[in-house]
Amino acid sequence: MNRFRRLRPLLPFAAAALVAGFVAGCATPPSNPEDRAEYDATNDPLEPLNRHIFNFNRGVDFWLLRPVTVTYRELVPDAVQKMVTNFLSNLRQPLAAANALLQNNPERAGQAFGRFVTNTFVGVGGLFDAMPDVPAVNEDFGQTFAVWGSGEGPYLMLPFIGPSNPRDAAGLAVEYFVDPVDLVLSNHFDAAYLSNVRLGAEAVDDRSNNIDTLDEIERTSLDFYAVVRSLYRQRRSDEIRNGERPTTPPSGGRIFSETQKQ
Amino acid sequence: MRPLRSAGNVLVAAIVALLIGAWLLAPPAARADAFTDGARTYVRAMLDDGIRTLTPRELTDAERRQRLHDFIGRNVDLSGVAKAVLGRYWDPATPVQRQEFTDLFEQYLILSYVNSLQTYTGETFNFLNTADSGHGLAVVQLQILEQGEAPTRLDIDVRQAAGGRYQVVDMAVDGVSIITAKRSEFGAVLRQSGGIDRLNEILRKKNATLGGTN
Repeated sequence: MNRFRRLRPLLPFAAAALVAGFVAGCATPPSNPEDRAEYDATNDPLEPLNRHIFNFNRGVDFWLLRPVTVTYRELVPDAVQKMVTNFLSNLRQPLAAANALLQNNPERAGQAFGRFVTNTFVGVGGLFDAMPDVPAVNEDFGQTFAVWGSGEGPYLMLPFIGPSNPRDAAGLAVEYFVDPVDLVLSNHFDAAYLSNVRLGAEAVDDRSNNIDTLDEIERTSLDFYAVVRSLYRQRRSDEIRNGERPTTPPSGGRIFSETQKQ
Repeated sequence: MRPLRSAGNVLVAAIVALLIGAWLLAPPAARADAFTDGARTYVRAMLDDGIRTLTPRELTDAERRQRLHDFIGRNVDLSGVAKAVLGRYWDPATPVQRQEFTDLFEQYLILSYVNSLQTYTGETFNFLNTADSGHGLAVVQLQILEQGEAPTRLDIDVRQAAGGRYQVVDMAVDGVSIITAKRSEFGAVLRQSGGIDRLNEILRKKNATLGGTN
């Protein structure tokens, strides 16, 4: 997903901050068994630190990303914004194809690769979506690791990047080195700086596409941090399952029926 | 028990046994089909009802909220959902606290979602799969189609209440369930604030803010 790619060069800093914060940021597990069960289910032992980083990220968003995004939306015509979204989405397809292959899903790999080729040549470099009936494939290394059996681990809030966990953070780190588009840019065109341009563009494009939803979620939330945590986990779990119905973690319906028994 | 006298009796007994077996086994399967078919028919009607009554542009805010309240009354197992959202905090709560929470939670849902109904622009629904998901629930899966946009997936969990009436118990948009999200959020508030009375107070304040801004 685009939002994980935001400001990737800051990843080493993020890792250092996490290690430093680990000692200071751990919550003390409660001793009461019911509280303990809930603490384990929440799976956020770094919550105090994570909340600080979350507030920091909101500051970055408020002072930098959101204003830039709002200006972008005011200045750039909708049709051009749509082209930017198409173009960036198209550039994600080679990585998606590679990950679909790693997940032993050749059908999805073919879909991603077919989209990439068609949209690059027929869709004028990816500015237009020439295959609107075939959805873009969303696969990344975090999802691949999950398919390979890696658990997500505790919830992590990464500086600048946002919600994550050790598995998805490791996926980001791998992606930093092997994204096919970035490799081509740096190896064949000596234009590695374009990767950072792409990154900035993705941050703004992604923020722009989610601006109404995010504003709405923030407006209606009692605890914005907790909502984002739940939404991130549910979205990632859905992406890993490629939209199949969940069994673990249970669907909302399962939670409903289990609570009605008493 | 008297011994069976002839092969004829054995045959009759076997047929009766088979019939009883078929009667015991068949109804659940037949019921499951009727259950999921009914669920799909119900969801179709519910969505039509929602679009007809909730989305007209000329409604005032107050009218739309009132209609959404009525719609929830017709279609949602509200107390069940409130119970699921509170989780382990439901049992220790008094009936008064529970009722207060349920009412505030409904207000909160209305104020959270009423704005999105205003902006309905002719999206259509494409029904995919309907399945018996066990535990007395069926899930109706569909896509929301909007011109020029990628389809949004919507899973609607329904149950059959006493009298055969269907009720919605949860909805998940692109895999994000309302019950799961709200349970997690309210759980965080309950842990920090330490009780349902405090949660009710926070909800009341939130509702006042939300009600004033739309």
